[in-house]
Amino acid sequence: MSDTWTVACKEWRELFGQRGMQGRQGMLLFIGAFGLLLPLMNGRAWIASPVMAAAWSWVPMFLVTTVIADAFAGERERHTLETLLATRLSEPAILFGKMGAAIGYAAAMCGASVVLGILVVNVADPGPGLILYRWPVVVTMLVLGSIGAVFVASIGALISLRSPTVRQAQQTLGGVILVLFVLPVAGIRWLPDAWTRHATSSAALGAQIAVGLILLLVLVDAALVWLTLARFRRDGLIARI
Amino acid sequence: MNSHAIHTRNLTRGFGQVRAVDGITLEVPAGIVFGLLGPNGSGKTTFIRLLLGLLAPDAGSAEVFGLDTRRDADAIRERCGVLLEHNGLYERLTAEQNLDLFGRFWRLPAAPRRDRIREVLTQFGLYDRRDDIVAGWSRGMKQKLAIARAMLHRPALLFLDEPTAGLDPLAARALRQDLARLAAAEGITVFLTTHNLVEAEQLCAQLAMIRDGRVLAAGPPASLRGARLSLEDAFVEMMEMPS
Repeated sequence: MSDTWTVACKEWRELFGQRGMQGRQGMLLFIGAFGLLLPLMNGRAWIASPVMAAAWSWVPMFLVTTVIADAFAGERERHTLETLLATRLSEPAILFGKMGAAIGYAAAMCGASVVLGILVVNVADPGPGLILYRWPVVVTMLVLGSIGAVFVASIGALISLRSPTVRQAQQTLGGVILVLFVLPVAGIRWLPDAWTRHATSSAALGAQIAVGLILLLVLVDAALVWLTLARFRRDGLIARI
Repeated sequence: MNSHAIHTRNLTRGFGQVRAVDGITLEVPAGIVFGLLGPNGSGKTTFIRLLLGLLAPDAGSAEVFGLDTRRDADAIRERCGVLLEHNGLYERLTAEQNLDLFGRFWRLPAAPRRDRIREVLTQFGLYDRRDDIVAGWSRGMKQKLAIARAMLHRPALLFLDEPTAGLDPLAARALRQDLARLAAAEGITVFLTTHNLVEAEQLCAQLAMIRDGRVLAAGPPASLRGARLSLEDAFVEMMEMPS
């Protein structure tokens, strides 16, 4: 566990170091937009609207996308991968450290934006009392955000393992994510009307379907993590250097 | 205690149709500087990767301190320090941050880690530059830092893959002197690959000459030189021999 943490800390240090001033400006821009500007524009609806649960469930995935492509392709491009692999660190420690760093980065950015947003809305639009996210919204954000982040981190790591450059990893990951998310959304439109009417006819059935989908996504995540770990072999990586 | 640091038997590894390492049988005694001499593409780097367990052999076997590279690769890497083809430094970090990172990888506790970092940086004359970002350094300084990093956790075996490649003659000479002094002081086994014959003769107690993944000759520099004027003559003769 301490090795995983060491690798994650190294990733964060590199992330902030390599991106330099431009990267820090990008992070501030994100927090400024999602923690300051949008809450100011939307007022109390920024927190009260149930749509926000869905919105905040998606954001971590895109933040992970911006980081995870660099995980192995970046080390390969900067000629540091072989030295890293020649250390005593185990393969799971390296892999989970890198995935954890990407997910942690997304969580920190989202967390900072959410907290700042709450402060901004309550200060700028005081209303009758303090407004906070309702607990079902928080749970939805945490559960779906985590599932999405692990999903993208696993796919991103898989792609980064095989990509010679960061640019190629980013392009491939972008394409894969687009296909994986657009297809199911488009697919819903092709479901028979009777099915969708039935599914939305009662809250209990809707909840059951939602829980079933979440469990399915957790299983998909677990399979992807297992697959990524199985594909992460020193021999395979070195042979591609 | 195993008297051999490295022992390979018929070690073989190919990539597609090419046999990068082709049935190498070799013994490297512990506590010496051993040189693997060969032209570019002769299989030197692949041989090191096999010894570190970074690549799996297609045939044959290799032991490092009695540990099998297939079964005990983690334990082997635990005992080794490496400077590979690329120095592997994180260029946006400072010299001290680079060493601190690898000290953490090797699980050195905080206080001994700080002391050891100071010690190795001082040994290589880099301590005053410890807060510099590595990206701006000369190649020679980076090589020194990479060797300092490789020695940080006091490994029993140090792999150096062409440590003076690309350095100017003065920097290469200074690095060789540092290496000879430190190898003696730390009492470690050094396995270096090179195609620099002066370096091989000055630093190594034993040498092996390799071509097309095969060892052509092995032994102390004097015995390889034989009656010839120089090691270079012996090397050229070996490399020009028909396969």
